[in-house]
Amino acid sequence: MSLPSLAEVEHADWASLERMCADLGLNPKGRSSVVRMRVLDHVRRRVRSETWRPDVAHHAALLTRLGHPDTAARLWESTIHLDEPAPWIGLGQAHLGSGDLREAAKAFDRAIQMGDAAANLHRAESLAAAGDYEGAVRACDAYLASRPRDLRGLLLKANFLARGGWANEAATVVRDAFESHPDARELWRGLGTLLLSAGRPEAAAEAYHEALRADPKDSESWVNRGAALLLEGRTHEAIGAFREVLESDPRQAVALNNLGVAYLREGQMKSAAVNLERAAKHMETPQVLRNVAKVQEATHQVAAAAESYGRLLVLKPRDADARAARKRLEPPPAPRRGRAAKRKLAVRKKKPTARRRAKKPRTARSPGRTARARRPPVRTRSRPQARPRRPSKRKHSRRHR
Amino acid sequence: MSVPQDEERERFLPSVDRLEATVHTGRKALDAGRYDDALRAFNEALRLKPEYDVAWLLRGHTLRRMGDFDGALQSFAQALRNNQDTEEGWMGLAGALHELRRPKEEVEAYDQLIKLHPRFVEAWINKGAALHELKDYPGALACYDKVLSIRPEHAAAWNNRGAALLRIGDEARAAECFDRALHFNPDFFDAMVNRIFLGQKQGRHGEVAFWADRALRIREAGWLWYVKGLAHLGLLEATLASKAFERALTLDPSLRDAKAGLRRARSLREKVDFYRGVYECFGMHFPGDPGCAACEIAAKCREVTK
Repeated sequence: MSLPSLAEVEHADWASLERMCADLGLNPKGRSSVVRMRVLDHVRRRVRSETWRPDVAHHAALLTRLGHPDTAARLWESTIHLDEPAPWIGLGQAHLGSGDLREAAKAFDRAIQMGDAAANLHRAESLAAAGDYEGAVRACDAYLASRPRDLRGLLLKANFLARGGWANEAATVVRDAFESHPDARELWRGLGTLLLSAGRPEAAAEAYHEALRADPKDSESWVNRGAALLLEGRTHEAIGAFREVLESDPRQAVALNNLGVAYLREGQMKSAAVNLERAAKHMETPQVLRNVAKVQEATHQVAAAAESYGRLLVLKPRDADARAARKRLEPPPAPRRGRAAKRKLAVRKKKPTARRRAKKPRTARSPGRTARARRPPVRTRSRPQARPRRPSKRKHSRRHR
Repeated sequence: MSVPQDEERERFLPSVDRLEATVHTGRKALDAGRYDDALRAFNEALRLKPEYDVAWLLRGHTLRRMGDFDGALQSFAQALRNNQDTEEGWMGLAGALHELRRPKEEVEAYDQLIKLHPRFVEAWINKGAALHELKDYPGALACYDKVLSIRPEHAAAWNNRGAALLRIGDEARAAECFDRALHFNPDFFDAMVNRIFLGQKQGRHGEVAFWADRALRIREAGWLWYVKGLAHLGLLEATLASKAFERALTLDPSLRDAKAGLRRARSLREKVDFYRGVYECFGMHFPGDPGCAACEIAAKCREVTK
């Protein structure tokens, strides 16, 4: 819309003023003279082209991002005015940065009361930071009430639903978002991740398939599709998906690990061991090391398995499973030379119990335990969802000039 | 007759080129803020031509900027002795008298200037301001009216007229004048401050908060935040009052009244803390206004509006 002239604004009746406010995105509420002044200010600012210079609000926003939230909060407080919600949002962000979630929520509430709907998303973020995902979803709903098709709001809502454990609902929200924005192909991947965490691998695999149609080189989608297929029991197809990734990037540790697990499921121990060991070479995480150790144990490489468990225990010293396994795989201690030891040994020889005898053949249990190696494949993290917008930092300085 | 010395020869037979070059150097130094160099150059010019009025004027300006108002006054007076028809000389003289707080003589200086140039707006408005200082409000009003008859859009004249009317006690006409001033110059800080004083005088907290908010966007001052805080207290907005007092104390920690105000705001918050939401005009209810008719907090606004 073209700007009205100053004379037009000065002589406009109430209905025209309201219309102008709606067209220019201004707050139409208040006494008519005040609303008129607001429109006049806006028109004057637009007519005068001003050179940009950073003002207090810009400094405050930068300080928040640079990790000085307390200083930023003080600066934001100095920019607070009666008709501007932006400084309240900035203040809330600064409080959020300093971990003062209660004050952050209060500041966002102020901005919401001043009519800034986007402040609902910031409030949702602060609630989620406090672990109140239900409240965060409610705040997103409040934002979406006036903008039901807003992609940012929908994605944030889905994000909070998923983080709160309502993966099915999150998937529904993403589907709704996709209906409103069919061009947003990247949504498929988010949907796939949500479906996968909701325990619906079949639907997740389809979602990733769609994501790959939009971007065939998206390695994360390939890995996650493979994981979904593996969980669904379509191991051959899963192997194909992982190989697809490894063709373009042979060092992709997640794909190597998942491929190893898939081979393990197929009973191809050698291939499984090779891939898992290569994965461990590139990414030494407890999960990968555990998979390696289990395969080594299953293939009777006792010393190597014990070593893998040892490496795992370095990373995760309290892992009970690994401790037990290492104890089990360690060679029996040498007999004591002292008399007492000899006597004890003699006693044992004389009275062997059935329980102890059953414990002896350790290898008998190993095949059963290899089943543990078939852990759910590693899923790569989905890309971060859209974030609420940063507070705007414009109004204050312009009015200074 | 003896041959004159070099110095004497220079004095009686100044080279025009050298004189102009010296004045030019002085002007450049004055513009660059090098007042010592400028003063040296103008003194040199006056040594070459002691009755050179332009050099006296520039010397006066230099001394005024250096804070030597007595010296400036002497320089302007000397310039006027050499040339009585110079506007700049009278304005400079009046300005120096203003700095020396001699308003009666200042008025006389403006009168002389007005005799020379009866439609000189600046002289009229400054004369009005000097009369205002002398508490001659009717005289000041006459000056402002003269300005407005020449230039009806002169925002400063409207503001000063409002200030004089406020002193007389004509609040309604004063308000009208401030509105006119702000109409012609929406960012006129002084007019906003006068509007705030008027609002305070009338006990209209809503207007005070509104105009203080706008004035603070132009220039921050501790006392202005304090006034805003008081207005929010009157409107039962404890949080906004606290914020305002805190800011006032940040800018001016010696503001004892702001400390007391902060205590009051904190104790008020325990009882009541109204939030205006989207309405920046809270406390300015006007019956019959279409915006007020559609207001969601009209009842509360009506309650706090005087």
